Amino acid sequence: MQDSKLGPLRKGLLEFLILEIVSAGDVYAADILGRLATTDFATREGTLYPLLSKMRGEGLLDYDWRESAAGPPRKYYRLTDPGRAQLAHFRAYWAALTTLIDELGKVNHG
Amino acid sequence: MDKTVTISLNGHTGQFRLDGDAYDQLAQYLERAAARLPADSDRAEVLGDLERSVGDKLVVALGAQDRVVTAADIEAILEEIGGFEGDDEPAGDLGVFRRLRRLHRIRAGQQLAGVCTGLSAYADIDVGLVRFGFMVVTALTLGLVALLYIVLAFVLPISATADAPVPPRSHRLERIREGQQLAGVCNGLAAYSEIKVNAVRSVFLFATLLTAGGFALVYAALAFLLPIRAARPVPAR
Repeated sequence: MQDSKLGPLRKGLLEFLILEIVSAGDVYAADILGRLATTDFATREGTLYPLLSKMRGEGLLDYDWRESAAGPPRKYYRLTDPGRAQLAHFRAYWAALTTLIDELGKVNHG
Repeated sequence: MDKTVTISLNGHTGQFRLDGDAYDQLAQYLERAAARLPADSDRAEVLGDLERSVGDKLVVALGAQDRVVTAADIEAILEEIGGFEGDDEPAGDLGVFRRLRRLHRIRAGQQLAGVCTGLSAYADIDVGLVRFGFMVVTALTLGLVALLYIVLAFVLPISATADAPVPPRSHRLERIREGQQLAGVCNGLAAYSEIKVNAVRSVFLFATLLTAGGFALVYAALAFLLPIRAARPVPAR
């Protein structure tokens, strides 16, 4: 498939992958970038920071300042209750979507 | 090399020495970022994040070397951080226009908070005339125009010189515990507006005396309303 068709899909999914990563426990920006670096969703700070800020504005996540051994304090992110709810909602939707795609595939090719 | 600029970056206690090209490049990047960031994100906060990240990477890039940061250093770091949505679109002429005509305070040649130097550059009037005008009008209005000066001092951002781009404010208004006398309000206002803390304290004292104590209510209100800054280094300016 043309990669350009997947671009918008990837962009939309990035937010949910971030929810997923942050849900695993306290992470800071470099952790998120590191987790995504080897995937199709590799992203850079110029994209990540505005997105994290937007998600925080929407009340999905929040952060605490924590001292770091090297350099200035870091923002450690965690999910809020609405963030957890949105992640659960997304997971359910995603499961239903893959089931649907599988079923449609079976009808056509099975 | 023509000139070096010493800067501090959000969150970093140490300072960085940049050559002129490196400084221009960083300032332009942050300005472009400010223009590109979507309105639904907290712009100042994201700019602070970016600034801190540039600092982190500079620390790594410099290691133990004590040298001036070059344009090549900055270029590599900004490439790593990446651009913003909308970077591919032409900026148009609006940005240039706005940059030329934006009123800001100017540190070079400032006497108090740099308001008169800023007004002078903005209106292209000799700074001595601006100061004289301020004093005359202040005397005529029995001090009322001094209030305008104070408001401008807090509201306008500051830049190093008339030509230097105005660095976006990377910190928010909050109380600061380090060096506080009462509740850290003056300290926080001083850091936010980049005015000397004693000048801020004097303003509060005078205003309180002039209003027979009424202005102390403003202080009290700020003490309750402003959050106290979480333990992190005060950006050195």
